[in-house]
Amino acid sequence: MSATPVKDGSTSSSDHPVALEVRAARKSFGHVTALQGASLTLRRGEVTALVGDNGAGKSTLVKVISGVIQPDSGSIHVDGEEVTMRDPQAGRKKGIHTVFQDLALVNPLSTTENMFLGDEIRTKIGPVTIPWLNRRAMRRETWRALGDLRVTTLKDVNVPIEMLSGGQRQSVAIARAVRERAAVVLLDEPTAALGVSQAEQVLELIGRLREQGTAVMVISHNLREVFAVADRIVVMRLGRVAANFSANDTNEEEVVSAIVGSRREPEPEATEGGDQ
Amino acid sequence: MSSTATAEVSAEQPRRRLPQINLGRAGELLPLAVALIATVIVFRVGSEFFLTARNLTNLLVQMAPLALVAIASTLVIVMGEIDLSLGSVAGLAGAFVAIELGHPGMPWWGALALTLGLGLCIALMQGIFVLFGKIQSFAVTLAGYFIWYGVQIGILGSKAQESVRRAPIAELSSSRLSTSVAIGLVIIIGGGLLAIRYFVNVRDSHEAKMSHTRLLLTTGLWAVVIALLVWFVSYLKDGGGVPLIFAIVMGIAAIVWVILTRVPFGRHIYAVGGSEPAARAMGIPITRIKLITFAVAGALAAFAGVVSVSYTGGATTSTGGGVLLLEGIGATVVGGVSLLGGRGSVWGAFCGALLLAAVQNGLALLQLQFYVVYIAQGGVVLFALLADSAIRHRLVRQ
Repeated sequence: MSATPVKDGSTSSSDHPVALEVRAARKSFGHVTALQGASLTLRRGEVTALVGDNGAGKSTLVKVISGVIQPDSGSIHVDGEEVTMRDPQAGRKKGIHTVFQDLALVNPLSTTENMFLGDEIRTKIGPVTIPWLNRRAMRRETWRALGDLRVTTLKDVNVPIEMLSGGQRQSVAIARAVRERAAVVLLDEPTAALGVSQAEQVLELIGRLREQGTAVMVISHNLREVFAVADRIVVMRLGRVAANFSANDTNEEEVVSAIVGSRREPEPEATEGGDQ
Repeated sequence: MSSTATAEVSAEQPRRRLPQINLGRAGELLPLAVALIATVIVFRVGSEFFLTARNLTNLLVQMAPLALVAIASTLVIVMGEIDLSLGSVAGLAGAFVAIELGHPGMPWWGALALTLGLGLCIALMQGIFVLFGKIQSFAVTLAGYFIWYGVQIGILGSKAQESVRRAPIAELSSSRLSTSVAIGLVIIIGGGLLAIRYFVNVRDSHEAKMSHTRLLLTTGLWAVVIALLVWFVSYLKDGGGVPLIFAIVMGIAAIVWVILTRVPFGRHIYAVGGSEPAARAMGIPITRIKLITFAVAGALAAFAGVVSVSYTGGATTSTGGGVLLLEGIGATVVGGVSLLGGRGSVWGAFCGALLLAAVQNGLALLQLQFYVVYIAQGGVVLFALLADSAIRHRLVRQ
């Protein structure tokens, strides 16, 4: 490692208990090495921002954590226990929920239906569960999840979500994670498609996730937002974690230079990976 | 229901909400109902015979194959695929059932089961090509359209198969329900559903935010609809009564509707059609859902073929085929089912089939030349779609 303020993700100190840990994850796609040993720690009740230039490996890291892709080497630990996830469903079962950039919402379906997509509440008749939607219970749970996040702009959970605004849709996507009582929530560019006031609302929601003791990781290009919401800022560069700041002890300039790698960095082992 | 949520949201262009009179999802059928009423008026003016009980019962029998193909096509289109082979599968099924019935030892139910199984297997096979061969369903089923038509001609030989005159397959389209039974069914089923709907809404009123006046209003509207149905059924008595096959098709539509709206599997069909990546991300078993849906649609198309030959009394090379297919897809689209997937209801497709069959029937009564029938049908499809699109775009800003 170089002499820059690089601290390995796993060594960051905090009182918050560790929820998830990635150790030295590597992943290459053919000749392209996307991750060259990235390590990261996410803690309960803490918002970690993941920043970095395009192609720095942020998305690959998120996909590894959420189970969309599997690392070639390295390990993932949830609550101190090593886990392997074959697909995002396995990730969800471990309490890792990803709010993807494209939201993974189905436009013609309602808020309630989206909230329970693939995990519907079925009706019970005595001890027997029949394949019949318990729409009432689903509605109630939906309102509860929205209430936990204090989402007030949504008045009707039965209309197709294509009739909602971008911010409301993002609220639905985040509320889905709350509904599942996810321990770790990953948000990929949660405000990218939103106007200013709606982006503000989403940042508030992220704050509420933190209050509830969720470990949150946000990918963002918007450093102003990163500083507004994050406790820790993790900078990725060339497939590894290049810097790990506490948001209170750093500034935009420092983060930017870590992103572009401009400050006295001897191009750390860039030729070493599998990319040549 | 407030149209603007909060000041913050309204700054971001709030989307319009559904209009105040809320018939539930049934409100989507409104443009279709208007088109249907307009059609009825036009033909009533054009022909004394159009609204007679005899013609109407005949119309309800005539529409059965079309409605079945429309239901099948709805299932496939809602999940974001298309099946162009439905008409040819129907034609092949008609020929197949006629030949099977020709074997003296073959019971009618055996022939029927084999035929439905044939449709199911054909569609399943095409589904496997689509899902595992990674070929678009348009291409696979277009090939199927030619292939199954070829097989149909091949197994029929040169002469028409008339063994379908054997009971009870022949009775499938000639039987009528006794009027008192039909009225009883309408009142028991319609009234029962209405009562359930009412009590569920009362129970949920605190969370659904539906005012009691509006609940009474919509309940009253549905009661009027049921009363009209009872009147219609008794009106059909002079024409021989409600056709059995119409009741069967209604029943199939109802079952499909229940599955699509109340069973997780059905909602997953909408989810897959609405956004396949989202459905995949949420762990919905896309391959399984698509295979089953293709297969069910194939079986429904095969049944359409059986009904078709039962009505015409014999299987020919013109049973089923491209016209039935395109009318079926036309009915589906006219019924508000989006070709992009994820949107639409089976009742819409059902009413679309009713509309197209009415136009066909009415134009035949006017004794216009045949080419006019096609042009007029095309016009109706286009007009219904324009009306639907106009209303939809006012509701949903995309």
